Amino acid sequence: MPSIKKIFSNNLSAAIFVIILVMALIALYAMMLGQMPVAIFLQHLVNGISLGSLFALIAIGYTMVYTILSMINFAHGDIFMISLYFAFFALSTFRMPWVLALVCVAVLTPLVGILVERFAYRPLRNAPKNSVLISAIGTSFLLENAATYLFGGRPKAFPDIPSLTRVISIRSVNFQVVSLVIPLITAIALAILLNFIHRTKTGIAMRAVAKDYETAKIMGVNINQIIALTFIIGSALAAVGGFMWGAKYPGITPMMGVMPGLKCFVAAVVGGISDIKGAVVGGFILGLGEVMIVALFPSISGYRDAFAFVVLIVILLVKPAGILGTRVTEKV
Amino acid sequence: MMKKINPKIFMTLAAIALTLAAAFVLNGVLDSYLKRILNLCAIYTIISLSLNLVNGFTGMFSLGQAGFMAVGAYSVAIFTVPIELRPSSFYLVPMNPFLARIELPLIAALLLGGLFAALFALVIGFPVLRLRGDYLAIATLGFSEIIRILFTNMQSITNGALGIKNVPPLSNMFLIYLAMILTIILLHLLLTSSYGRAFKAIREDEIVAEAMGIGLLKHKLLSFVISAFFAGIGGGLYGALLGTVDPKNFMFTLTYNFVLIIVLGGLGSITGTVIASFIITFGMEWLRFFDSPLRLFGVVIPFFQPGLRMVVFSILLMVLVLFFQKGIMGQREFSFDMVRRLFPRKKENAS
Amino acid sequence: MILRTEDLTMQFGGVTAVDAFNLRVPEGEIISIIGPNGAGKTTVFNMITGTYAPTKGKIFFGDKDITAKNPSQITKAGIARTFQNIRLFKDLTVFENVIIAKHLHLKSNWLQSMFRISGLPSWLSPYPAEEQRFQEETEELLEKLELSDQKDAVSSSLPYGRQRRLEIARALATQPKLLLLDEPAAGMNPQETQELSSFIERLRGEFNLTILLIEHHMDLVMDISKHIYVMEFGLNIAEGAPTEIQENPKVIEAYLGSDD
Repeated sequence: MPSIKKIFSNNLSAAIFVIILVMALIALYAMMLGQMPVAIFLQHLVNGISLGSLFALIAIGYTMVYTILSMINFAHGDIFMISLYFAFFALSTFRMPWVLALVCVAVLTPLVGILVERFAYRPLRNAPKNSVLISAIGTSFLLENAATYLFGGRPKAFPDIPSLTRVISIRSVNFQVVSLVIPLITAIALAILLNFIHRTKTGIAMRAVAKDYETAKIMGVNINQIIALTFIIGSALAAVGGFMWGAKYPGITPMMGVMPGLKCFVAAVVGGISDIKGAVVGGFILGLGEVMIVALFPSISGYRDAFAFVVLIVILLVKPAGILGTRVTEKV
Repeated sequence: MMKKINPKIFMTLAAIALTLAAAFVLNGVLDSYLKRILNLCAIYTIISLSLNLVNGFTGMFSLGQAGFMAVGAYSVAIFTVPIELRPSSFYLVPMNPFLARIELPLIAALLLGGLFAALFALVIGFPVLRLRGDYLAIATLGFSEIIRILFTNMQSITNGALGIKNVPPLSNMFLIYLAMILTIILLHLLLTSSYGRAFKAIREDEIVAEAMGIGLLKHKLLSFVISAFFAGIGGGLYGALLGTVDPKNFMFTLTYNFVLIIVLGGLGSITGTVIASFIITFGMEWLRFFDSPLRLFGVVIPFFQPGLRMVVFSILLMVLVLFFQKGIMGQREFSFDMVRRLFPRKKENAS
Repeated sequence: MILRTEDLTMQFGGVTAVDAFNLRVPEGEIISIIGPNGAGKTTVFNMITGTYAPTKGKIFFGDKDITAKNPSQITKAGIARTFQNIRLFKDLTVFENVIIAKHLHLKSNWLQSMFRISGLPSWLSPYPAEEQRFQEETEELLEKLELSDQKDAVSSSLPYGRQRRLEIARALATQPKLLLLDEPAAGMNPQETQELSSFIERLRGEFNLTILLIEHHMDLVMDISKHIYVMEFGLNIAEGAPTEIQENPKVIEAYLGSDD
């Protein structure tokens, strides 16, 4: 028993373990039903993994802000949405090659994140929690309405990037290149991020602020810089996620950030909001789960968006700190 | 004789009678556009009060109002559409045969909607109300979306994404204002009772409230369920006012309107909520001019195009949160004492 | 024994904050727990009042096992407390602070409270009579604790000493049999401390209380306690009457060895 506990306590192996478990269960179920050819199953699996990776990329932004400011950055989903519009204009208006467009978007989107932090959150840093929450909701609402105003409410089609959307087939399993690129990019981004947080001085300062805001401040950590950096990293990851999202699911609307945003926050909570790896675990559970459930039970596909919330409620009841989280007793 | 009638009670009764009389008279006089806005004001008041009960008086943060409204609105839509008109809505999938035979008067459907919403709140409250702060916000928001998704998928009951048409339109100001006044009175009575004090204690400090013998879950649940009941009633009236009930009307962004209202009015103030509901509802109408192209002296002013209204609206919300956190009334209430204090020269400052 | 704990233990992660503590509180007495900061005294309070669930051990109130019951049930059973750093309902008035603590005695349900009509017989509308009683009892309590002159003031506007007193008034409003006071003399000068000592004595007599006290002011503790428990690093290193404690070498060492 203790060894299992240890696996779950603080290792990325926990993430992999959980994901393998989930996949195995799903595969078992599919085989039991005997209704799904292996090729189709693998296809769904690839889709599930790439959706899970996207969720993970976005969820990290929630986790990072939450650990440092203990607030939900409601606007994160909308920053993700803005990044898709940036990508749209980079690709269609400026006709950039996609790699360049991706870099541009990853650089531009964090500016929005910084603005949000500077004007909507920083003035309320010592305000009651509910005020901060309302401000976050207001920011989210403002970004959505601003996008509607500037870009129109009608959906825009994300420009096709042939090298990403090309379908390749191995044996009889068909999938888009982008479905393989997404997990790859997520893995790279995660590796860089974890290295940054654990190996660099700034990263350590960041963890210090997350652990104990006041003490870190006394120790001379520049809090404002660290918080801004948190928003930059979160937004950049959301931007990369957004770009890939657009390539895979073309169709951009001002409200499109809402659902992925909510689901990714749920992912962060499910995985354990105190830990970046938790966001990855949660992202995979939700992404894979959603795709697989729809694949296995087409009759309930209308309830697809409810899946995340059901998982949220279950997790909060069973393990309120999330899968990787540890419970903290509140001091009285 | 004079001792028997407290002047405050007398004034309150007079104000109520005056409001109802005005509603009755205006109902016959005003054009339908103004009537609609005034009705919307009253309905928004009901729903905002219900949200303020939880968020302002009990100190929780719920974002589930749109979901509870949907429950109320659908129960009005399902039960009050005349039986012979139902097939014109339910042309894809026929209505559930059991429900298809039931038709209720509006009042009964409204109460039923309120009770359904309360029941729903009771069921989700048990797991959800253990959560704190923003977790609760997300969970209630999630449930509000789940309700909407359920309604979108229960084709034979709700007619799915197509919505239900031909809901007997409600434009009777007297009825709507009566509902508003009843809501105000009932919530006032609740909040000035020992239970209301218990809610405030929870808002101020949960741990101490519990140490004083106030059961947290019980009282939070009570506040949440009563809130859902009134949101259900408000939602039913809203559905009847619209005449068509459709899942897209109950996106969770609808809840943001009420959040704005209670923040403007003051978290924890009934009268503030009433004032803010009227300001916001009229304000939103007034802001409509932002959405249409504006010509001044023959020149088209740029920027005025559809969507600007909502941008202005959300900027106002932000300004409010950032600079006027207390809102109009804070946690105080408007009272006749306040009026009296205003007139014979204000000497003392009641901040 | 009105309160009794058996091997009460609390661990936070790997740290044992309280280790197998056996507390005996006889009815009607004033019992104190002393010890350096971080010794685990407040943790004991938090376990007794249900704020923390103990890792091990049991708590009995009278003959009832109240281990890990939730705080509101424990208060209803008859244990009230104050907090180390004053925790009043800051935005509410003095009167409201106290009357809120009466709520647990309310028999009317929420519907009866909402649809109240004064003047009706109490079997038809029981709430008004109850409210009337609460108000009177609150007035009376404020009178006894000499707080009536400021009953409509917002509680956070009171001077420090009065805030402490108000916190005690609020705890008394729950009509406890056992009152837990967590450092009531914190921040008081010797003069005030002395007054507090007679105040606590008076409370015990007037309200028929048993009092369990956490305190750093030795004069106060030695003056009023019948029996003293000494804690250090979660362990109960000594217990006994005030005179015994004063001469106990372990206690002397614990106090001289710390900065307190």
